[in-house]
Amino acid sequence: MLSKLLKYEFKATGRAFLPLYGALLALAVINNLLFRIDGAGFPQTHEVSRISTAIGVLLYVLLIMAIFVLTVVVMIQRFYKNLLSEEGYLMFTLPVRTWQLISSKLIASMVWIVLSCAVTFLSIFIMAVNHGFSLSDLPRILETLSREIFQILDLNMAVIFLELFCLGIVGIAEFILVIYASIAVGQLFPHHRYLGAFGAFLAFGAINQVLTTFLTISGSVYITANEIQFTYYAGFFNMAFGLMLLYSLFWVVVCFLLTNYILSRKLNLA
Amino acid sequence: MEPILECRGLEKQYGKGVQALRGINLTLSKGRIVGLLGPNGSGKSTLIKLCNGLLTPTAGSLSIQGQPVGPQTKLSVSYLPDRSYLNDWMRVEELVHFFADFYSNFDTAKAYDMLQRLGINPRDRLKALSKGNQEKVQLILVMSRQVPLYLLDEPIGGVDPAARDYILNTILSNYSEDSTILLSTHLIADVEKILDDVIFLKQGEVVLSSPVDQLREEHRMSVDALFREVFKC
Repeated sequence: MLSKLLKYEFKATGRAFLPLYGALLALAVINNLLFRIDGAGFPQTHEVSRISTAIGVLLYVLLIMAIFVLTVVVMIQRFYKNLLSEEGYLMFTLPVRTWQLISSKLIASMVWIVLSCAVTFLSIFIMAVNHGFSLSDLPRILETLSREIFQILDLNMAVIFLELFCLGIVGIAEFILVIYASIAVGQLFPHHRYLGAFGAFLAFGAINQVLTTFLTISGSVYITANEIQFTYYAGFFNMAFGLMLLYSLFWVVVCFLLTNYILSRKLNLA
Repeated sequence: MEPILECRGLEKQYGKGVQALRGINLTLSKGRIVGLLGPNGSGKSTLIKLCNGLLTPTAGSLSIQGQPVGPQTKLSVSYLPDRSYLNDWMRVEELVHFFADFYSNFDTAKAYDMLQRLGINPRDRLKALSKGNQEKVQLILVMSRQVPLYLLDEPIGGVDPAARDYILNTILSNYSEDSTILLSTHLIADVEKILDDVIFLKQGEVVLSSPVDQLREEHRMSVDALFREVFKC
């Protein structure tokens, strides 16, 4: 059932994202060409090409902003509108479990956030190709990065990148689930759903602040008190990533369970 | 015989003070067409939403075929809400596919047959249809499922008298003998002829629950006339 829910979730959200992704990539190609004309420096086309290049870049930046705003708006709207307004009458009468509904929204939103980032990077590469950059430079850049930074610090670049990637993915899930949980908590106040959701979001933020401050301070005190020495940077990085990952996972689990509890035990559709 | 739907001491309170349902005890048996009748705000929609798990009871219990409301009971209940609940950007055929995908008891051929008879083009997007046709699509989807219990909330509320007859005929010709239909409305005269049982709901309480024949014999008047008497303002 989860795969069916996902299929319809991607169908419903893809209509908004795919055209924008297409537009961004097309604009990147156009900008690349505009840079070429501009770079060629024909005297008679100089002004015109300057202006069109500027417009192209402006549009490009606006489009990227639009994509990221859309990513967040769709994430909230799909959860609120599809589950908690009229469409919820359909979704909550399907023979599926509540955790499957939440998971389908979560997974789809995560995929779109990752794709939005990927498409943005891809568009930057497309624009930069043949302007002092070619794809064959990529391995050389990574190699330089590894030699100049990671090897000096005695770190494994692949491991660090993998850890960053995991942290990013869990971080995205945390970001989405905190918003889902806030909206769900808002449902507990039938007359003040928006206010309740906003208050819950602020409360989650405050709890997060207090917890991180407390954990950081107690962590430093522990390290100082026990005179723990990090002889390798790798040890420190692995520990830091591990702890941050655990902390994010804690929020992921708490927010998922809370959302699931409210939507399955306390559901009251308007 | 196991009842299809059973409520025991069912209560629903909205926020503080608003008591939508109080102490509802109800048993629906198989193969009946039951009218859930009452004026606006008497708790008809609340009761139906509770049966679908769209609301959580404040107190009391509710079971469908002996099971509490959950994914299993949702497969055995076909629900027509009192509002538009479909994604209006989808084409009618996509909606049919959606229902067929999620409900194993959905009869696709039957749905297309009804759409054709009503002159609705499956290729049209829902939002391109008139409001009346949108309601008909919703009813067709709901009635194309073969389930033990149909919960229809105001199925004839917003349509003209000609369409009303068609909808009632659709309901009658599309349910099997073993199925139960619970149908809420305040347009009693229109549905009276098809009902087996009636339940009168007044300010969140069941004031009367009886077979229609027995009612007519006892009170020597039509359900419509009795309704006007019970709910006299």
